[in-house]
Amino acid sequence: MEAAADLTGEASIRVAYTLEQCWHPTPGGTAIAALRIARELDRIGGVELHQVAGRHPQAPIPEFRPVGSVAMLPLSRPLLYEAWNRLNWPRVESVTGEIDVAHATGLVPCGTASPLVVTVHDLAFLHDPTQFSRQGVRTMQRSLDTIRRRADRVICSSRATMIDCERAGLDRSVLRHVPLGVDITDVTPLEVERVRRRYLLPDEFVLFLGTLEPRKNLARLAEAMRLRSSDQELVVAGADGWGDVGAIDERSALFLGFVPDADLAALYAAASVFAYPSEREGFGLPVAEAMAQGTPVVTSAGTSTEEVAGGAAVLVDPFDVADIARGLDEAFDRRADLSISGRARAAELTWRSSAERTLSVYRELVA
Amino acid sequence: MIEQHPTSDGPAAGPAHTVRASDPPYDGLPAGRLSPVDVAVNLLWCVPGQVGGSEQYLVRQLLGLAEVSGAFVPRLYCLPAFVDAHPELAAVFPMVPAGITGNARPRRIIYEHTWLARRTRGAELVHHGGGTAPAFGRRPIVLTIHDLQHLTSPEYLSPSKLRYLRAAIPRSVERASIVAVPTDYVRGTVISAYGIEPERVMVVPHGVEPTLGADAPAESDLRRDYGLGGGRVLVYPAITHPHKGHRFLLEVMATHWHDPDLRLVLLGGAGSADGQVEASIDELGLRERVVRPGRVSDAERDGLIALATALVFPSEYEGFGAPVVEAMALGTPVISSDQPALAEVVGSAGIVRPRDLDAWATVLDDLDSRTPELRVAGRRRAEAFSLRTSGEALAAAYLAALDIDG
Repeated sequence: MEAAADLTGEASIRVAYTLEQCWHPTPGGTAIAALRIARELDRIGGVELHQVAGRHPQAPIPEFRPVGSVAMLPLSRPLLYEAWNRLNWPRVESVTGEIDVAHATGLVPCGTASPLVVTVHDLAFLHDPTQFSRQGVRTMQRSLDTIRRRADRVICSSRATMIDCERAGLDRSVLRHVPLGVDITDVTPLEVERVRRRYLLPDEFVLFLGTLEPRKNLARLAEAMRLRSSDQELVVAGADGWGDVGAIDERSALFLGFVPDADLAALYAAASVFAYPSEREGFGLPVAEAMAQGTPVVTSAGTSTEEVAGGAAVLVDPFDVADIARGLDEAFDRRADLSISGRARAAELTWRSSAERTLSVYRELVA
Repeated sequence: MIEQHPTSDGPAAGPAHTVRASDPPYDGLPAGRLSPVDVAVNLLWCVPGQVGGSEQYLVRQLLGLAEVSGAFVPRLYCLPAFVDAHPELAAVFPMVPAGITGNARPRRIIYEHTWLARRTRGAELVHHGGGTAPAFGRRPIVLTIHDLQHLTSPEYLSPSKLRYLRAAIPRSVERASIVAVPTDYVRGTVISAYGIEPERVMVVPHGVEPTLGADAPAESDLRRDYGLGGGRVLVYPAITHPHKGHRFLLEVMATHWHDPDLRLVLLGGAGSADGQVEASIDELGLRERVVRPGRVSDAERDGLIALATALVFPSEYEGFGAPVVEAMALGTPVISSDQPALAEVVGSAGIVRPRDLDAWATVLDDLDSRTPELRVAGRRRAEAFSLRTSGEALAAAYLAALDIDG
């Protein structure tokens, strides 16, 4: 993916761009974000992207496979991350040649002698280390220390994460906000019908989607559903099934268990309302995905999902059951206008704009 | 332990459970019990070789039950052919063969209401394994529902079968204390469709036999006998029902998988789409590369799956998808459609793709790079579906049924 000098005649900015997270056992959102932004940077031009990762015997699974070539450093994880953090080695320049900027897209700062940009999606490990492996927390903690010492710019996907970074001792002047995009999938009515029948969904329902963990706040959502007078059902989609829920009475929701990716867009579209009252999020992609399908959204004020919603969702206090119930009622009442404003908001969250903002961060460092 | 088919009505089957001080207490007996619980299991619906994966499902959960608990003594009411087909079950539990072949549904239903009802009068619990229970007869009932295909994909069932299932399943669910299902996916659809209390629907996962593959012939013999050459082999074991997606698989092969040495082995009996499958093979010019042995012995089937580069499973509807677990247990990578039950069972231990020609175009390339990792992940995943886990879940379902109604 090497773009020549862009149309304005300026020399391209040479960027080493790490994609190590694409090889993680469950790559998830941080890999998708890095891949989509790389794609858009390539389309925009003006950047000569050198993709870099550690040593791997094989390509990542297709959903997380980078486009174009990826240069390999001589180490593999977890040694690679340790060496980057402790020794600022191996330097990405050893495989990319001379560059203008090194961009570590997945929290762990790479070894480099060039100006360093690091992307931080969230600092959830600081709030609840018990959700991560001990080794993982150690690497993340050490990475945060390295970022403090070495990063010239830190890209945060939400303002909530910027605030977390500042609390963690990063200098405000290095923080930059680059919101993520959303992949908008068009869903036909036929497809919605197919998914309705596949899961035997009720006509009207409130959808919750996500891994079932305490910060997602499913228990209060279920409680709020009980407070309401209407008899719409709560439908819960997400791996780990009903067995691990614990906190919530199984009778209060219909649990779909694991839902394949191909069914998700239609599931959002089938829902009357999407409820996502997380206590804390780094971004909150499901909110954007639901809005993209025109489904009214109820989500939390005071965390990143408020930013993602951009005024197009009903905001509630995630710690107040009565307020969540009120928000659900409001969402049902304002369905038509929330549907329109939600779609409009989702359309603003493009990877193109994420890439443009990323590019302007690079420009700051070469100027 | 096969009981002769009684010529007269005779006494209702099942020992009397007078509690005697000399009875040794069993581990895991329900509270207050000193003797095992007498369970009647209705397997009259199970025509060996004709009901797909549900046959193995029931056989293995019962074998698992025998392994984990002495608290239940199931008496199996089945077809004569079932006795012959499952000596391993006959070795652990008493079997009572019926006087019908089971090929005619109306006759089987009448039999359930008369012959079976009389014989299960004395049982403490009746387990109906085939998705439906008679309109009257002994309770409490544990009802196994394999899937709700008649609601989620009705287009593949005959009108008469649809009518019967639409009437019989809700009534059966209502009479059951506990509904046992193979996956979270089916559980969600049962709760949703019938408004049943969630605690009454319990997952009893499939159990895979630990000896799987032990008797399999050598790979070289199988390759010679089935004419597989020395190249890559894909196996799809499924009766040719329309929803199994044979046509889709053949189209992928014709459009994208051009390797001349590749062989696709289609195992399993003939279903209503068999003619179409045959026609598709000719139409798509795949006669040279598709091998159709039909039904083969368990040992050969295991051997074929074990030697395969991958087991492919493009089905459009499954309640579980047992062959997927068998393949994982044998260390053979799985490529499956993203149907929810399959996606749930395979998890991240295989390649799961939507049923879409483009999505399947590159799966063999992915497979090449991921085979070692998938073999390991698959074996680990298969451990979640052992005879023991299946038997333990069945015992829990029996106990719950006794708790609710007992």
